[in-house]
Amino acid sequence: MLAIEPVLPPAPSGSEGRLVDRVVPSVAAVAAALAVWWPLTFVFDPFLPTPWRVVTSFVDAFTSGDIYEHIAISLRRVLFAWVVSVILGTAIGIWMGRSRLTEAFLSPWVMVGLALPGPVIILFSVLLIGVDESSRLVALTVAVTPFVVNIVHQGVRAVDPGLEEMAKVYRWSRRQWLRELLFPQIAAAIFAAVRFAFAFSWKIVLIVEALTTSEGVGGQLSFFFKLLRPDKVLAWVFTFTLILTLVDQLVFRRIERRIFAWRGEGVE
Amino acid sequence: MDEIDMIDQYIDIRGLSFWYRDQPQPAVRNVDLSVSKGEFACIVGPSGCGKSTLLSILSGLFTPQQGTVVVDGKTQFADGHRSDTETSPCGYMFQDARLLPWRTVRQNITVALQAAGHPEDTWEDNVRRHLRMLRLEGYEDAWPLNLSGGQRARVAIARALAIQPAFILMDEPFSTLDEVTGRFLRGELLELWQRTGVTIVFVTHSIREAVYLADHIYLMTAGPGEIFARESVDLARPRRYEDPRLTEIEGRLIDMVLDRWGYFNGGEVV
Repeated sequence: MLAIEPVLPPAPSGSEGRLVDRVVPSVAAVAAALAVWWPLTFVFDPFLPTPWRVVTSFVDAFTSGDIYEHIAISLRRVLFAWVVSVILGTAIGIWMGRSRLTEAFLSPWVMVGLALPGPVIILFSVLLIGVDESSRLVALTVAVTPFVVNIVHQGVRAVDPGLEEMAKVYRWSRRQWLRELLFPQIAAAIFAAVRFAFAFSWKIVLIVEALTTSEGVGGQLSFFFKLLRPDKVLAWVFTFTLILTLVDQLVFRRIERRIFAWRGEGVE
Repeated sequence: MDEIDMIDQYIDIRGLSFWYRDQPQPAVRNVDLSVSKGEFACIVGPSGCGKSTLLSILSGLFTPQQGTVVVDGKTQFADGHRSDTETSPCGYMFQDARLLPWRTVRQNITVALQAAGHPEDTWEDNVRRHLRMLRLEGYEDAWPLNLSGGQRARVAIARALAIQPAFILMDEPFSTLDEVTGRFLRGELLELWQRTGVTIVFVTHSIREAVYLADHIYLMTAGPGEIFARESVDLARPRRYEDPRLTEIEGRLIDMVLDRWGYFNGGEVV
């Protein structure tokens, strides 16, 4: 499943295990979820729809067509916040890690940014900028960036001083230092930040949309919530989860294996 | 040390002192050191005597507050100032190999070649030649994490030699290896040194290691470090650790440092 925690990617083990070993637990997990869900639909009738109703709503949404438009709207917002927060956060994180002064100055800001609840950022963004697209994008970016800064900052602080000394003795150019030494060491942190920022942007965009608009996945969620259509709500949640999981498995996992090939089957 | 002045010196250090910031005492004090071209020099001192500081100054990392450093007739430092003349980097071996784990063996060496200003079309041949010299052919594309400690040390030696440095500095490079690997590599290093004629300044706390390796041994006091003796080892190579003459020189040197170092740690003098 999706890693929401900002953990550094683990060293990919050489063998992923037999296919059966991976499929059987997943199937069991789904079966267990259904086994819990189904009886509960009788307890919470009519507010908890049966799995079957959710599936039909899901299929309905995809065949009726307007779901694509809403996904596209949300995706655009997510992409904006994701890209901007990763670029901004990485730059600030590296700067903080390399300069004591910047670190001392920016640390409290980052701490506040990390602690501030998403809805508070959204409300203030709407109050200050107004209910339009720019306030949503600003809120999203402000919510996600501190986390990126934090992850990258920790990564830069962990840079090996022994290798820095070696680079100095061998008179590496600044470019070599960046490319060969700094970047590979913080690549894991940046990668974790990129992954985290993507998942987190999706979570926040739902709140932003639910609070400020009926367009986008979050807007539809709150729209159907107000109409008391829990089956629709769950169908949208599944759509959202599906997108996240697909991107994580198909995009991030592959990139991860490529970037960290050097960890290989290293023996100390 | 008048006799040394007579010889044309390759590395010449005079009256050198260095203070770390916020330290009341200098790390090294009034050091005179002369190494001739092609010499294998060993600097021996107890832990914390400023040996590594001395190497950091020679490699250009630190600027000494006092004294002069001249390499091959060119002044590097004079009275707290670094000279403007661009110098080529020296080769350096640290206590650990200090290879980039995310770069292959080949890439680890080519980065150093690029930094030292070697033209790109010479890299391939250079890397191949030095890896063959260190019996690492076939390991060009290996990741350092998949190598043994001895192999990593050999890559570090190859890197130091490949840039064709003015001299090579070594800071206890074999101290973390096991005894047999260490002995083996010392022998290999001496062979390479004889073949290439490179000047080596080797720092160690082991008198035995110094006697086995060096032409001349420079003994340092406990910190603040000063060099108080220069001893020659006139034994033909290859030397054997079990050679009684080697043991005798070792004994004499140990007698010399006993009162200077203020303690005797039997485990350290191996």
